[in-house]
Parts: sequence; C-alpha cells; structure tokens
Amino acid sequence: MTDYNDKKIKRVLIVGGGTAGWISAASLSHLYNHADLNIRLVESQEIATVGVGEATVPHIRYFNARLGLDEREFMKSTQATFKLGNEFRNWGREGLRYAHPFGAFGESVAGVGFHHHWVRAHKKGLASEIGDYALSVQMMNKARFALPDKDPQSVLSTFSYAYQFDAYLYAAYLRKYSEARGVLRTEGKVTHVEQHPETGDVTAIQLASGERIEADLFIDCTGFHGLLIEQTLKTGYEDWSHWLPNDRAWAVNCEIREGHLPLTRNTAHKVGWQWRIPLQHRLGNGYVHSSAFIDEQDALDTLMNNLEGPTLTEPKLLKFVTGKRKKQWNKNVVAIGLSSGFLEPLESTSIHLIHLAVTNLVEMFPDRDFRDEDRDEYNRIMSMEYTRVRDFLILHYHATERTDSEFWNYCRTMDIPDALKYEMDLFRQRAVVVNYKQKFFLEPSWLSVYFGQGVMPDSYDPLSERLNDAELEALMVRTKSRIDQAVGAMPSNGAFLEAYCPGSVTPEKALH
Amino acid sequence: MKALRHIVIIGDSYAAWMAAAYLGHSLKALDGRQLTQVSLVTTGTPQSRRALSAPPSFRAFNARMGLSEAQLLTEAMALPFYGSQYDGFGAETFWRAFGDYGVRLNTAPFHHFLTWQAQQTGMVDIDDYAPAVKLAASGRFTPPVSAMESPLSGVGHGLNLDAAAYGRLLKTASPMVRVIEGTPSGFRRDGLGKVSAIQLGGGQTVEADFFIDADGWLTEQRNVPFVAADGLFHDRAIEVGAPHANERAANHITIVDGGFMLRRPVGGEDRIRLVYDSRQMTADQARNLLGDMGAEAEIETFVQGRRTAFWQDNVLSIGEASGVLDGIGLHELMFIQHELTQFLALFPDQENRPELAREYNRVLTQSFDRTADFARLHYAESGWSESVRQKVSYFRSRGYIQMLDDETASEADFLSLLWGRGIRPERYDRTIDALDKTLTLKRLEQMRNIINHEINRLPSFAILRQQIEQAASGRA
Repeated sequence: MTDYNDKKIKRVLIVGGGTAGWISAASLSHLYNHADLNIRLVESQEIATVGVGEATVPHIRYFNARLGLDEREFMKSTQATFKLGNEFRNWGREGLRYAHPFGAFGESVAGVGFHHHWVRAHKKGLASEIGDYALSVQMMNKARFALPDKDPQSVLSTFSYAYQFDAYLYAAYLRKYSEARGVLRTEGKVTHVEQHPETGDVTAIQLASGERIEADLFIDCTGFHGLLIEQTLKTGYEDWSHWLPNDRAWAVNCEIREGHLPLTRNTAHKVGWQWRIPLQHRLGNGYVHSSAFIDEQDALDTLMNNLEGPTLTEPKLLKFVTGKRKKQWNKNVVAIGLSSGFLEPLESTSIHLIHLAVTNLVEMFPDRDFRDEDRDEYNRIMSMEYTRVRDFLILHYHATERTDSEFWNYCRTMDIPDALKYEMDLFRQRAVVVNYKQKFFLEPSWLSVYFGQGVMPDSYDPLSERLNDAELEALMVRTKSRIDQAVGAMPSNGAFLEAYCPGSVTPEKALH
Repeated sequence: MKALRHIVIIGDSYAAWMAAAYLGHSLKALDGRQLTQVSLVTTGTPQSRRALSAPPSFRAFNARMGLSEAQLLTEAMALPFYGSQYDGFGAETFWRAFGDYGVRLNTAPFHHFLTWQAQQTGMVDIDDYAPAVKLAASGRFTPPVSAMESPLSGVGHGLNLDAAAYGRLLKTASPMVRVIEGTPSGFRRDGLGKVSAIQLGGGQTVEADFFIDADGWLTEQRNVPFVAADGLFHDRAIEVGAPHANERAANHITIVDGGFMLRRPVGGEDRIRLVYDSRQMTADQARNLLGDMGAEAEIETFVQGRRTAFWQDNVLSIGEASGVLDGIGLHELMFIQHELTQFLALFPDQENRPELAREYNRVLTQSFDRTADFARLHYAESGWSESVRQKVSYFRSRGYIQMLDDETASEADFLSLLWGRGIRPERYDRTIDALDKTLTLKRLEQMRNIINHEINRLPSFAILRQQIEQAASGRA
C-alpha cells in the first residue's frame, strides 16, 4: 500500500486556461481529493483564448450534473440559451433547409425502425418531410420549448437539449468553481519547458516571471500551438484537410434581431458556411471557409453582408488545420482541446470532445510510472472518437448536389474515407446506419443529414410491409398529430427562457 | 422493393427451428398476411441429447414467437438459472451470474471499490455485492423485480432447456412454416451464381430465393472456408442425464484433466456434459468419468472455429454451420439469437445487395471472435489471443475492463471471470480517495446487508422447481 501511494501522481499542471483548461481543472478538482492531488493552472492574459464551441450537444448536461452545477445559475452566469439541434441551410442544395435535432424520429412499429416506414410512405406519397415526425424538429421550427419528460410513454421523452453560451463566461464560471475547490491559478507566460534528459518526459515549466513549476502530469491546453504536446514532444499531427478543406473562420458578435430560436443555424455559402448562435444577450456569428477557395477579404465581406444586426465586436480571424495529434497523450503530457486536434464546429463537438477527453483521462488516470496500457487505451478511444466525428462532418460536405462553386465541386467529388464510404453505401442500399460502440453520433443524427441532404435509400426494411398501406398511412398521421398537439401546448422558447432565467430575454423578443 | 418469396431453411437442429419459427413469425403481417413463405427441409436426423443455456433476453426472444415462459418450462424441459459456479478455473471456486455487482457510489465503476476495500481491510468477497450470485448460491428464486430501488431489480434469470424439446415446441408454435422431408443431395445455381434450388434425395427440387443452412451441408458444398480457433482445443463432448443433485437455480462447471464437466438442471433431471480434448482423453476415459451413465452415450465430435463468411450470396449459415465453440461460455442460444436478430435487421429483398451481407459478416464474425476470446479467458494463458492478453493486462493494471465493438459478454461477465480466475487489479480508481473512508466502508456494509436481507426473504428454488416439474408431467 505504501508503494502504491509512493507511485501516485501528486501534482497536475494544466498549461493554458480557456475552455479546455478550465473544464479540465473543474473536473479534476471535483473528483479528486485536494490534499492528495495538487492541481495548478497556468495561463496568460497576454495570450487570447479561442473561446471555441459556444454551441454544445446534450452530453454537457450530464457533465454539468456530475459537477453538481445548478442549471439556472449556470445559464444565468454564461448567458446561456436552450438548443434543440442544428438547422442547416443550403447544404444538400441551395434553398434546402433541414434540422439535425437532438431527438428521435417517430418510434419503432412492428419491430421496424420508424425511418424505414417513413421511407416507404414517402415513396408512396403518404408522408411529408421526415422532420414532421420528430418532436424536436417541430419545436425548432415553431421556436417552442419545454423540458423533456423521463416517462418513456410521453412524447416529451423523445428529445433532449443542450445549451448555447458565451465560452469566455463558461471558462470564467468554471474558473470560479475550480478555484473554490483548491485549484491554484498562476498568471504567467511559459518561456521554457524542461524535459527529463533520458525519458523525455516533461518535468517543469518556467515562466517569464522566473518561477519554475514542476509537476508529474501535464495537461496541454495551449490551443493550436500545442506548446507541450507538439512544440516540446514533437508528437506529430494527422492532417485531414484534404477531406475537410476549411482552414479559416471569421468570427463576430452582433445584436439579435430574429428572436430567440432554440437552435444553432449553419448556412452554407459558395465556400464554407456561416454559424448563427443566439445567446441571451447577443448573437455569435462566424464564417468557416477555405483559404484555397476564397481570400480573407472576400470571406470577411461574406460574413459582414450576412449579419442580421449591428456588430458588437471587431471581427476576429482564426486559422486552423483540421486533424488530430498522432497521440493525444504522449509521455506524461495529455493534450486536451485544440492542442489535441481540431474539428470545425459544424456539429458543435468542440466542448464535447473536451468533456470526453477529461472523462477518459479520469478513467485512465496514471501513476508516476506512466504505464503504456493507460496511454494506449486513452489514445485508442480518443482517436476513434475523433475519426468517427470527422466522418460525420465529411458527410455534410460530400452528400451535396451543389455545383455552383469549385469548393462544392471539390467536396462533392473528393475521395472519402473508406469507413464513411462503407456507411454511405449501406445506407443508400437499405437505409441502414452502422452502429459502433465508440460512435458519438447515433442513428437519428445520421438520418437527419442523409435525409436532409437528399440521400434517399434505394430500399427500406422489407419488414415494413408488415403494415399494410392503410396502417402505414395511419401511422404517419398518428405520429404527426401527436407531435403537433404536444408542440402546440408548449410556450415559446423566449417565454420559457424568461420564466426559467428571469431577466434573460427582453419582453419583445420573448414573444418569438 | 420486392420482398423475398421463399426462404428455405435446411436442418433438423434447434438452430434450424429457431430460424424457422423466428422468421415465420417475424414475416407475418399485422393483418395476417405472410410476407415471405418460410420452409424447412428436415432430414429426420436424430438429435443428440443436449441441454442448452440461455441468457435472460431469451425470454423476450421467444415472446416474439408467441411463446411464453410457462410454455418453455412445461414443454421444453426448461428450468430457470441465475448463473454458474466454476471449480478448478482459479485457485478458488467462483461464480458468474446474470446481474451487476454493487451500485455506483461515485463516477468510478463499482468494482474499483472491491480493490479499494481489499486494500483497506485486507478482505473482500465479490459475491457479497452480486444479488444474482447470492440467489444462485443460496437456492432461492424470485420472479423479475421491477421496482428500481430494489437490489434485485437488475437481476434476471436465464433458462436451461432441452434442445430437442425446444425444437419440437418451436415447430408446434409455427404453423406457418412448411415442413419438407428429404435429404439434400445437390443444389442448382442461377446465372449470377446464386443458389436457386436444392435437390432432395427422392428427386424433389425445392426452389427459393434465399437459403439458411443450419445443418452445414450447403455451406460445406459451397466450399466456404473454415478457420480453426487458435488456442481452443476441446473437440469432443458427451452428455448424460442424472437425478437433480441440489436445489439451486445454477449450473456447476468443473475442470477435469483434459476438459471440463458442466452440470445443469433441466426439467426432470440434471444434464452432465463432459467436454474434452481427444488428444488428452480417450473415449473410454471420458465414459469412465461419467460412470454407468456414460457407457452407452453418444460421443459428439467437433472442431472449434468459424466460417470466413456467414452470409454469402443468398445463403446464410447459422448455428454450428457458421461456427463452433466448446460451450464454456454458455453462448450457443445467445449467439443464434444474435445471428437471427442481426439477419432480420439487415433482411434482404429480391435485389442483389452485397452491402447487407458485408455488414452482417462484419458484425457476426467479430462477435464470434469476441465470444471465442471470452472462452479463451477460461483457460491457460498459453492459449490466449493478443486481445485477451490486452484485456487481462488492462484489468490487472488498473481494473479497467476494455469493452470493444460487438462484445457478446457483458462487463459483469468479464469481471466475474477475471476476478474469479484470481486476476486482481493493482490499482483502483483514485476518485474513491476523495470519499470519506469510514462512510464509504459503512455504505458498502449497508449494501451487503440489504442484499442479504432481500435474498433471505425469498422462497426456495426447490418449491418452484417441483411446481414446474409437476406442471410439465401433468401436461405430458
């Protein structure tokens, strides 16, 4: 027992604040005994954080619950709004709009998934668009909101929700949380990284102030730069930009004019796409594009010409290369956040991938002997998660009929990863979505994008024919009517938000 | 989309009848139409005396064919069981049962608390936290408990049954399945190379647009390659009946030189199955081990391994036609269930869609290999695959149970076996150190007490068994 205690990691140093740094600090400080594990975070106000991921996915609610956060207080502190999914415009083709909701489409009948019945009904002209059969899509379309119900018999159990918030405020909120749990924050810029002469492990960092900080485990949250994981350990980067060619994003905040919609909107342009993320007090906008297909000024003009209100900030340009580190955990350094890899925020996965990294780190938390098996399993799981999210993102670009620009011609005709091709072939044949253990986006997500972008399967599950045509039509009518009724009884998103977080919404906007 | 017109299943085994009944019922429309005709070609080959074990999900599988648990008990010689006791696989006897261990006290999987408790107090009994093991070991029984707050809510019982009786029950319950008697002697292909018909000994030809081989004949005729399972050496089995030995809803598996002996209660008797390696045990030695009962019993021969593809063109191989293992993991019914539900999820139509077979083969061959790995974990380290070694290494190092795509065993199954075989984690999840030590020990004690209290209130399994057997004999 004594031996084991001797091997325990006593000091963790998180290098870099921002969203990744403070999520890591909050989680570790909540889960570990402060007397047993000293957690420090070094950040410099001279280095701007990227503030990724204002929009999130529903897993954040479980993560917050694990930290014991009060939802209303959290929402108030971060200017958060509710999010029911992503709305996509002009992706499959110009003028086409669809939703990727956090929820299910209909329910299985006669042992057959609803979407098979829908494909059959659609081919026979007995069904309207797939979104009419998902409660969350109708809530998005009508800007309504209610909290989900745990009763599986209730239609309100068929959806989930996430948040849209100010990432800087989120980091600040978690900083307060972490410091209250013993995390020591040090302001300072890292000037030198020391490594063990034999093992190459990072042993200490030095700050511009002259202070030297040692640790056993280092968490690199220094952003794209990857101060420890790349600049020091030369881990290497797997470049995926041939599949996801966007490498720039202009970001700017403006006033909200369209009311409070419980969704993130992603509108495709001739090159790349533009996000619209409504918070309580402002609208986050960004234009993700490829420098190979549009120059910076044209990109900026595209963004500024497509804002719905006056700007509140100066536009900011972000540069990135889509991909991931060859090892996200190398020696005694774990890269979390942008230092571990970058996937564009098309499906709001940035914060989720941070949460996932921290959760897996806790599960594989090392000792000072840093066993290979802990590192290997962490890297295997994270690599698989990144790769499968990547493939889901590629689907958005590849499954398009757009021919109006070189950018879309490239995306439409490019070679795609074998695993994605496998999935798409299977879907095109028989509307089957492949299921893996490590796969963040599940069947409803893939169905949204396939159907939403016009990928219609050649056939459906033959067992759908267990229902005759009249039963099929009745199923479509019944499902739609149940959803319409439930949505009709809900308050507007603005009204709900105002009641839930008083003061969050101006009266005129609450009507929307 | 044009539905298949006719599916022909070949074989006499329980697997053939499972396929026939499951598809027959699943392909029946809500208004009574039969979407696809299902036929079964039976050669009338007598089936070996064979008991089988099924997990709790088997009850729902049968419900889909309109079969209640009561019917299984009275007509398929079924008896409930909670798990199995293993002797000789580790330094001490151990249990594997249907249900989880303990309740999470923080974010760490519960079994980390076992390592922690052992390090704190010097002693821990994993079974203290397993209600299903307690039920099995104490000879008690409860119908499924749905109240979430009960420690018994996660416990379900599986069923042991007689394979031939189960086959007969499935036949009775599936009047929509057409039975064709005859011995296959050849088959015809169409212009695309797909099987279009099989010919029977009497000159009869049976045409269909899809074939399911539960016998192995068609798979063999079509030269689908077979790969032996490395490290799994048992190749013979012999099964006999014996009076019930004890009153527990449990199996008992004992290591013997060159094999293992599996004793499981079915309706009216216990079945004892000796599985062995013919290079280490002769047929006479095997019969002698079973005493008088073994003298006349038939010896089954098999080779462990699987076909390289389970679905090729328009022929699906299931059960022993797709792959064979020695049964140490009690996987047979579970695996056929898995094959049939996956097949239904990827059910073909008349079009040529190789993507469906490709996905089926990806999932099922991987599932088979995982099942084989679970079997390997029971035996000597020299027979372990690389993936088993890795699993053991992760568990030993930090108590991490690596669950991969298409595992057929649960995390609790792995925990029972790893722990039971004496593999102990060197470390536990450090988040436990953030909890109050005294309070945590107290909560663990409470957990043990609640489980014991609940179990001790339950009626004995002996009473239930007598009722079941009386009902069965009354029906007979």
